[in-house]
Amino acid sequence: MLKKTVVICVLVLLGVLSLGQKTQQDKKDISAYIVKVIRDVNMKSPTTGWQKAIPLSKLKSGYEVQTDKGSLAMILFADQSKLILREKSIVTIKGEVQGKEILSRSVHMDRGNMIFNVKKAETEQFRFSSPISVASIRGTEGGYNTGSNADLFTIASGLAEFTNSISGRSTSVSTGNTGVADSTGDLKVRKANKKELDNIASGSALGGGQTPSTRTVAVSGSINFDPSPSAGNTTTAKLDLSQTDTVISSVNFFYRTKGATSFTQGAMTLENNIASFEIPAAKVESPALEYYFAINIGSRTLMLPTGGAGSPGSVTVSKAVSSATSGVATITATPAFSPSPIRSFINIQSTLDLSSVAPKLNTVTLKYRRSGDAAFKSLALTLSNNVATGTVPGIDVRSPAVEYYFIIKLADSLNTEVPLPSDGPSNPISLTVPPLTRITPDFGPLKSKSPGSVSVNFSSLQANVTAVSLFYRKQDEPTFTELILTPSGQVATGQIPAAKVRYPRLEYYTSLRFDDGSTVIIPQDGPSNPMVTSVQSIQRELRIPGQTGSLQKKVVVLKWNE
Amino acid sequence: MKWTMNKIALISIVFLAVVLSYSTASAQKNTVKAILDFQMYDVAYLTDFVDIKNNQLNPNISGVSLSMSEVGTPRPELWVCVYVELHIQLRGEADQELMHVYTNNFDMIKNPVLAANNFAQGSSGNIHIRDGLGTYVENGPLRKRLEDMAAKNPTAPPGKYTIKMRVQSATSNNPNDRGVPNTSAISDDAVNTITVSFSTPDEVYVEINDPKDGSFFNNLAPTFSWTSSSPVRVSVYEALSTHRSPQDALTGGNPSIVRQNYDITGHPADFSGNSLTYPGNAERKLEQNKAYVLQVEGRVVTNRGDLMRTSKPIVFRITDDKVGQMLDNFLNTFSGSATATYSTLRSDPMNWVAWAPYGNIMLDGNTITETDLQSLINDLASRPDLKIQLGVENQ
Repeated sequence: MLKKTVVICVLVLLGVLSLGQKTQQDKKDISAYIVKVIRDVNMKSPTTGWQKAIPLSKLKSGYEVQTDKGSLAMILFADQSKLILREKSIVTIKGEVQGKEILSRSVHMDRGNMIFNVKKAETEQFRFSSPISVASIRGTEGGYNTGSNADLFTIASGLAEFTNSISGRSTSVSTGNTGVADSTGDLKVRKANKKELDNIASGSALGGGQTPSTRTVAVSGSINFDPSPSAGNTTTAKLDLSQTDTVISSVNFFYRTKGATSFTQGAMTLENNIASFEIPAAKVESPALEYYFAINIGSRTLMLPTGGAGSPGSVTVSKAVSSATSGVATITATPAFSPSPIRSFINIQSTLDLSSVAPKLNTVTLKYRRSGDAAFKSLALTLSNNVATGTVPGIDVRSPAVEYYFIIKLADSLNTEVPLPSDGPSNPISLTVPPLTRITPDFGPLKSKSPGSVSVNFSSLQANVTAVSLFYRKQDEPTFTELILTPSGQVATGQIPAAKVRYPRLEYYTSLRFDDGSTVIIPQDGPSNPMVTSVQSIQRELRIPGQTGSLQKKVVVLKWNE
Repeated sequence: MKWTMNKIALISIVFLAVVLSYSTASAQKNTVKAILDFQMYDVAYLTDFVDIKNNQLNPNISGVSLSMSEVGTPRPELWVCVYVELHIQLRGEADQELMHVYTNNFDMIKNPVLAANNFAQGSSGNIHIRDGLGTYVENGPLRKRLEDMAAKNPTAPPGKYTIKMRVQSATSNNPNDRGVPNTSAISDDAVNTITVSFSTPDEVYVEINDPKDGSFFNNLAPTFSWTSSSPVRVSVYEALSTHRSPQDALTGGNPSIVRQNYDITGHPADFSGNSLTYPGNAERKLEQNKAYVLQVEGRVVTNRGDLMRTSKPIVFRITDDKVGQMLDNFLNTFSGSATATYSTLRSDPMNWVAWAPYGNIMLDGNTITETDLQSLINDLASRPDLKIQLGVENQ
């Protein structure tokens, strides 16, 4: 019997560790903390030698920080401004504060690569410098790279002043651009390339935004019923959690016959993170079992499926069916299908045990159709020891159900055909198939007003996919736009134009076209109830210089996220 | 400075009153014509007229003279004495005589001009104060009050100073005759009233009524109006982008216009009244998208020269304020702190206007036009759920 598989990933946010922040004293050296250390990071004060840096090492004005090969350090200032030093970098931090006001702050980088996310201050400008260049920034995210011959200064969001110290030439560097200052005194600005922007994005991701110490735990598992549930027979529900490294303290199984109101609870045995529970035969009743798991991790309980009792999983319970009495025999058998539970677009192994049937059998044919189709397809089952088996191809296994019956041909002189059940052709048995939901587009980081990449992996389908389209729209847009993805192997990819990627979210559904010409929409009600993915906002900034009645220059700054 | 007002000092006030006379005093009664040439002052500094240390009239007052000339057939000599009577009407009070006095006998043919030193104590000249019984009469209480006022303020107290003066026949040809002259007048009584308007220049006030500070016009001929207690000079200066304050503009550039509503030598008044519309014949015309500073100065005439009491400089701009109106319309549809911040910025006393000379409108670091801005605002306005933060940065 084939096993497998439902794989459900649950992400659990366990907590956020907040960073302690010391109260600022009146006028003194600026301080910062190294909040993240990967591999070898060293630090030194103006009066001491190099020493290993550890998380929450405090830095003061004049301190140097150095990262070795393959190392990284994240430095956090009291105003939540953040520096990420990549490998082989060395910086010196200087600055002064008075009360809570930062009077000055500068970072000199002798060499290396740094990502920065600087919070905007009312008056203070953050100053970066190297032997070649100086950058003054306010409220800006970007990267600074200094080599022996040239410096690169990239702005991911915001605006900064960039100066070549050798020639004294200055320029502004705006969002999406890179300033290049070289040792000949030259200074120019060009569009930032993907590598530079990715470097900043990945650095920001390392920082985890505002919660660098956030920790997430993933729990994944597969569900299986063995044997496939049939009425009046025991079956064992199994939840395989061996793929997770989280410590599971216990798992409870809740089940009920479809149509019942209350669930029965059973404690599952847990061995090597595989939870098992045998459902008593009396509790296995047609037409289906509804169930969910409660996974206890420490003081938390995770439901699987996540809806718990509100939206339980379902597995079909087959029951014995009988033919009409035809001639010498009345045939009774219980059809079984695996995997259990059934998954859409996955081949179904059909088994019909006719070993108790006395007449000699010639052939057994499974007649099946997709729910809603008029005609039945025929699948000749392999008969071995009066057990007929065969495989229904995945392309025909689709929601809401597969309808079927069997034609058993007796090996008598008349080649008598016995339908099972007797009214099968007119009243076939229905095998419920859940909707296809596991095909979910994988979006790269979606940033507002930037092109977004998307890929759809359909390798889990046992059907030939000939085309994949993503229908998407901005939030509240009335119509969807189709993006035809380019298939390559079992993955189709495409790119959403920047104009359609807007904060706060993108609404979408997916369309799969199969080699039989049929099309499946995921989710089924996608056009009216699309899936949603969040889009990272970008901060827009509108600056309007103006004059007060006393000739003071005051700039109105409008900011919004989109 | 405390000083004792004695006879000489009182005479000094008399002379001061004469000095304050701007109009020409003319006395002619058959024989003698007397002329006084003095400027009228709004404020008079006593210390410039009186040598306080020595309690005497400053003998070096320049430009002050009493000229006498014989009328009719010339004579080899004409002995006369001068009678001077001073009345003072302090502000809010009745007119009172302060004193009257006679000079000694002197030959006016040889001494046709009386100067300050003739009234100074210890004068060794031919003309001096007659020093005899009854030749000097003063109002003691009034003198004491004036003495007290003088102790507190270095300037003459505001009021009307009236001088009556006549030339009389000498009692004899003896310059040392000390008797009270009962001789007949040989000139008409000359009566002059001099008004000291202010006790100090600070009393002069000048206030600009219109425009209000920070206002703006979309026409090139705005009208200015003010209230002042003295004649004024009106100046407009262009405020350049390098000027960080109205004072910078006043001191750092050339005026676009200067107009005055009083006469000065060789320059008649440019206008009259307490308002001025920017003239078409101005030295420099007003221009769009420029800021200007208006200043009105009140003229105060003192014995130390003209002082100008300046108004608070008023900034006004010539602009159609399209950007400001866009923002007004847009932000008024929002509620919350952004609207409040913007409203504060736009209203008195901030009176902010978008100002192209200070830089371009920037969106995400890129310059946009007013048309782009309007499109952007239309887009933002169509998204009422948008959370907009508004900040104001000093530059």
